Amino acid sequence: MFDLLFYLDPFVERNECVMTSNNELKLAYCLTVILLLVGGICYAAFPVETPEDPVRKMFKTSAGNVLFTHKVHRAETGYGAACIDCHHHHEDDEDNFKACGDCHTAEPPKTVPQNCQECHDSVGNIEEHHPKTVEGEDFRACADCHQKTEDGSTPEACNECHEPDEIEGQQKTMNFQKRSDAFHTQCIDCHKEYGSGPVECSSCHVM
Amino acid sequence: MFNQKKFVVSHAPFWHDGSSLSTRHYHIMLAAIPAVIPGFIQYGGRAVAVVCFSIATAMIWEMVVNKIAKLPVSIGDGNAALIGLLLAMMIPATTPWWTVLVGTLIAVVIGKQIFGGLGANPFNPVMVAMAILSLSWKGIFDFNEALLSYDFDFTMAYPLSSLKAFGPDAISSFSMTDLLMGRQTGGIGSTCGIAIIIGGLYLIARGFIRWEISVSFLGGVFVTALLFAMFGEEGKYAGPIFHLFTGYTLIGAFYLATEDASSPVNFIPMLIYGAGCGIMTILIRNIGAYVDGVVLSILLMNLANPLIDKIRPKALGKVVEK
Repeated sequence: MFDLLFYLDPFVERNECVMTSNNELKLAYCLTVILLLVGGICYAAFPVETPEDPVRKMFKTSAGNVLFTHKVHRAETGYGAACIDCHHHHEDDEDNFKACGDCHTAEPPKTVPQNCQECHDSVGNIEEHHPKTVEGEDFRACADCHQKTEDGSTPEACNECHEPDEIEGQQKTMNFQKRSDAFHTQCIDCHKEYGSGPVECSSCHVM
Repeated sequence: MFNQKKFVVSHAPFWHDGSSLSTRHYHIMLAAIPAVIPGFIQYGGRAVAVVCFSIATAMIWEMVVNKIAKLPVSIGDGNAALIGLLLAMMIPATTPWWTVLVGTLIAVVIGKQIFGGLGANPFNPVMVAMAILSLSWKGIFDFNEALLSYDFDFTMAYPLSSLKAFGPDAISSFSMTDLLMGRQTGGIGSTCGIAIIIGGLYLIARGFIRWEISVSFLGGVFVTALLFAMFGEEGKYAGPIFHLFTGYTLIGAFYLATEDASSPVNFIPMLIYGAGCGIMTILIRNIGAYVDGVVLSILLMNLANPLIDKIRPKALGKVVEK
């Protein structure tokens, strides 16, 4: 009855018109507390988890993002690609993958890595990929070239030790593609090889 | 004998018929529940978290503003809860808690209370929040990026993004039935078209929203998309049904454009307002920069609302100068 009189009172202040009945307010308070608790608990209980084997990946680039269907490429019912097909690794070890960006940096690498073991896990592996420092010569000891100079630094580029004609054709072993080039080569070459999948820029990049 | 029917008006005391703001707002929330449930089923506890947290924080912000402004606490009218629910329906289930908190702050404080509270807001508070959030944290509200780790048995690319980037050929994998039944990515409560339509029809039948706005909104979307498909560059634009069942079209037509304070009250203005929202939506989708145009089109028509609402019947009688 009080509520009714309140609503009908023509002299009531405007700011009091928003006053609701006590029951409505109590309901709202209860709703707030319950929903806050449920919301908080659910946020804690259900975090967004990225699966170890990704479903999709989003490559963010200045030329437009690329949504890559990782699971479809991987699944037997999809394209059935093996991990090693894309995540090529110098040791061909399926249990020891590096992140793409570890070698293929966003910017083109201007220097060779400072430490062999940034990329190579064993000396044998180094010899496999960097065998012929000079045409016609046998393997050299690492220290023949990569010796510390007087100022304590190690050579940062091939041509610090070698003449250009001396290492012609060999540089590729240390010339990592930057990440975007590596991805483009990887995707487009495979799509061309199988005659399926996009090869045009606008077919992958969401502008 | 002049025999025109007249309204019968009795004298005071009047009796309150029981309808109230809270009845209206809780009914709208009730009507929205069928659209939210598919989101709960698809995204699980995470969607429950977003919805509950959004409603709760919207009510808390309203309480905070009420206390600061030394006004009576107005959360009892259910409007803050409705704002929280509608905001949660539009955002992905992966939205972090702090973004929800900021979103409800923007909606309730900047979108509504700063202008004087319920009924005084020139823009739909939920639209204000969505516009600011999606411009500020693009990645969080990009459904393709937000839902990367979810995998359902339907095409998981956001339909409107696929259309925008790759043209109508890219959307051939979406069947209209799937889109209508909610088998598409999107906001927690904005993908299941059939549930939104059922809720909207209930609200129209009960008189809680105006059919003129919803119908003209959908009509504007349909006709404009049809014109683009018929007369636009061949193979560049999607058909009208696709536009009706994707993005925020349906939730916009039934729950967002119909917000009271920011929409017209006269018949012709309501039709113009709704149609304007629909037309702008398709213009933004087809030739604009953004993937979906519903949020910005409603905001734009909110802006035009006071002007449009000037179109009204002339008052009877005239002033006679002596």
